[in-house]
Amino acid sequence: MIRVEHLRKEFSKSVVPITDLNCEIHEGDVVSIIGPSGTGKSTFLNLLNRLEEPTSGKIWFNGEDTTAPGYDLKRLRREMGMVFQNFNLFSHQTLVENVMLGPVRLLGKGRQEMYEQAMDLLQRVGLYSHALKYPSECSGGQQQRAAIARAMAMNPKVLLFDEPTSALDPSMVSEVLSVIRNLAGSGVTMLVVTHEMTFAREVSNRIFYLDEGIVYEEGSPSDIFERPARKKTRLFVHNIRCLDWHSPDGTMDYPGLRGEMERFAYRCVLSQRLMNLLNILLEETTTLLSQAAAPAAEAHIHVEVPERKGEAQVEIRWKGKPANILEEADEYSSSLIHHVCPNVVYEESGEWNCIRGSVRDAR
Amino acid sequence: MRGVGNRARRFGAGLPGMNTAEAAVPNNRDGIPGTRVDMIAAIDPAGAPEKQRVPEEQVSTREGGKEMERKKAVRRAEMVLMFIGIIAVLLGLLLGGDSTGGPQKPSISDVGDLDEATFAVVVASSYEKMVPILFPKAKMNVVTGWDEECLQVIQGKSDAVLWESSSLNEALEAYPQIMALGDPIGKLTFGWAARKTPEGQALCEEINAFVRTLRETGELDEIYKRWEDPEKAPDHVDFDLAPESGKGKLRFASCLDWQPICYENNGNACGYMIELIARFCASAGYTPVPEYVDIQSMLAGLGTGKYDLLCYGFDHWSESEDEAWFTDAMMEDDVYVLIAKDRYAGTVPTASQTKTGLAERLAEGIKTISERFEKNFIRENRWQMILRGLRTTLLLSICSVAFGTLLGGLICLMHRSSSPILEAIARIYVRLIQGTPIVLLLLILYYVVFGKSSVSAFWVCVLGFTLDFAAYAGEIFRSGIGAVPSGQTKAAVALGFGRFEAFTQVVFPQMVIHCLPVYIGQVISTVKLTSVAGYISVQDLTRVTDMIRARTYEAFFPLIFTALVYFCIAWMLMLCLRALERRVDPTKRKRIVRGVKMRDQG
Repeated sequence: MIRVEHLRKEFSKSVVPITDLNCEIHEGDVVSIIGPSGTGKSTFLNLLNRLEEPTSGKIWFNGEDTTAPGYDLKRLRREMGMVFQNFNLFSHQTLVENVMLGPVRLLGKGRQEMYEQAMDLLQRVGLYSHALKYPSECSGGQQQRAAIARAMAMNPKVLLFDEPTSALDPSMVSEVLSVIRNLAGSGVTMLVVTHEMTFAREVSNRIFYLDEGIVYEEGSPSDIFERPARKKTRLFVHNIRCLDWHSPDGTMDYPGLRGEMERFAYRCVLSQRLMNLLNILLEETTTLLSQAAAPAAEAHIHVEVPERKGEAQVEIRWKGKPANILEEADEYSSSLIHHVCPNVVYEESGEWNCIRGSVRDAR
Repeated sequence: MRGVGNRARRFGAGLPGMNTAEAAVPNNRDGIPGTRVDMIAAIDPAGAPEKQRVPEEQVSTREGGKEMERKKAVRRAEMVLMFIGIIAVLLGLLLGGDSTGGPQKPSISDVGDLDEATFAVVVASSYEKMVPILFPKAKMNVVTGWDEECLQVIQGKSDAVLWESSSLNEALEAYPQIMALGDPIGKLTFGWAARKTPEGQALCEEINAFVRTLRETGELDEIYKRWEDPEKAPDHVDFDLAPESGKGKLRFASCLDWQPICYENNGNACGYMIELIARFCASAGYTPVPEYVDIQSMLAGLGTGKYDLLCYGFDHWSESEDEAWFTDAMMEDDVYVLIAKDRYAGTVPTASQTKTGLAERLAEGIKTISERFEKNFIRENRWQMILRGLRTTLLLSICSVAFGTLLGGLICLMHRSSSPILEAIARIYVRLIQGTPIVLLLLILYYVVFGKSSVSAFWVCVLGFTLDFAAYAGEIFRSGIGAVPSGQTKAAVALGFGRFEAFTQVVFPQMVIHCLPVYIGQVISTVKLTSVAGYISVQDLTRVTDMIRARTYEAFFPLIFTALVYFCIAWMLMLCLRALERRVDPTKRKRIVRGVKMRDQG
């Protein structure tokens, strides 16, 4: 139904949210689009209904190239409803008038006919008794439900949701999500940009993970959430923060590493104890590494912190001759490392050595 | 008569710049941009929508009714207070207006006592030159109208004025509190002024020859006598005497503030000099093209070539002919010194204002009011002049506001356009206009830009006020559009509306709510600003009042009356605003969906 080929959008030379995006969306699909901020999710939606002009690439809708000159954009937009983060209801009109405006003016429907339809739609989103209120008199959740009814009133083939719950008070998120959930069961094609992972997982049949300006990974909800194939996807769906430190020549600048470590800990709001444990582990291992018989030619340190778990995964890799520094270590260092990180192991693969384990704040 | 004559002298001193500058200074009618902006800011456009936030359904109908009642009562009280205020001010003026106050000043017995006195003189009049010569140590208060001179003396702000014999009787009649002091102290002779060009010189000679002939036949005296007694004077001058085959047009200007020389009666130009110019045109074969303006405008118009001839009293007793040619004198006048009676040391006692009771003073006041009313508004059908002036003011305001709104929309569009050039043009335009006093803008348009063209003063005025209004309206619209969240436009476009439909359907209705109070404020401001149209000879309400003041020598009645008329216009506009606000404010209208049979929603 929608096919996107080599889509690219540049806002300026340095701001390129979409670099080379390809995807295909079939009729009846409910696609959740997830990904970190600034990776062009909203831009992607705006490009689909052409509120933004693509820099290059093609978008096919129902077999027609919407980027071709002379394509009727107004028709395209009538067939692609959109729901915004900030609702954007027309504040000089009551809810029911908001719902009626588009169909009456654009589809030439009779006012009476449209009024009946609008009231039915409002009933579907639970706003029947609020039909004559102005947007400013309604809560955010009510406004967003009205905005959904407004988009539905045009009888669109596709509905685009641009972070429909991001501007809402947490207590109002569920009412909006349940309306969208009901719609998803009705067979409309939907694209939902969202940060509500549970919702995405439960409602959609496909998930797009957007990163680096492309569809970085796509698949069924269980693929993406349980078996993410790529590292960035995994980090994102598990909400993992990570620190990557790289030494190109294998020298260990522990003070520099420690500084970065502390800034990282601050950003992730790690507990003081967890940070101390991490510091001990890093200090001991880097000291061992720099004293090792076979010096490292290149080294990587990778720390991952999953959300709210009070633990951190550490992986230290270096290039050089195989050398299990844990065994080479003196008794004091060895016991310290095992105390801090009980499950520490050494592995070797080819020319790379690796120590990995996890640090846990037991309390 | 009035110090008419020598406007010429001032003229000699270097005209256009000086006159325009001085024209603007004493008159503060032109809006100072800052003031108006403050005024706009004071009407808080955000105020009204803020109130809508309260969901009306939460206020039960009964409470809502009480609230309405209370508001109505407050409004009624406001109105009553306002009227009481106006009446109090009027009464105060009536009862206290004429009485002198302040410390006793030294009395005056003859001209010799005036050596160090303060004289009231009209700007650009002969007396402005004459006073320093006759009374080297005297000070001068420069005013703009002849009636103001008299008031200065009565109110003790000045000690004396100089006055011509030709209009002496009228002045003394209008102001019983003043008197002539002794014998004339000088003489003024008056002629006309023409452009400082060879044609102007030739014209002067032609006029001189014509006047000589009339004088020899004794007709000149006859004409003068015909106008001397205002009761018996004709009520118009016949300008249709000129033969068709003439030498072309003679564009001349006059100022109709000098009975019996040149004045207005029942809407017609009358007077000795007016008849003279009509006869001259007829005999010399010119088609007369008269224009009746004020003194400063006359002088400026001669300088820029708008007029060929100024048909007014230019006096000859200290003239420099740098800027104009002057004809020979065609009349002469004695000059008297006028002072307030209560300052006179001699035996002309004031009809001493023995302190009478309030009731008597009130009765007397009411009698005076009816007399004055008759004099200022009924006699010579002056109310017709006022109606004409009112029509001009309204027409001027309506045209300016209509065109200004269109132009303002365009300016707003340019301001918001993506082209930096258009945007810069709009910004510069707005700054330029907002930084120019409207009087100067009008004078520049009339005498410089359209100096030689035949565009009428009225349309120049419309242009001036349109330009002015557009600058403010553009900014008002811009802020109104800015107040509508851009997301709503985006939502409309996403529904399938074009940009233009999105504007008309979504942005415009909301913008109106934001703009309306400030916009109406600006309209009111413009209506009041049109009172400066008289600067370029448009006979609007204010100018008509000036003309009546010049004829009756009274300030009080015409001024207060005109102020009231402007106030009423402003008030009606405010009422319109309220009605309009109720219409466009969504929360104030009934909760119905138009054109639909609605379901019952319980």
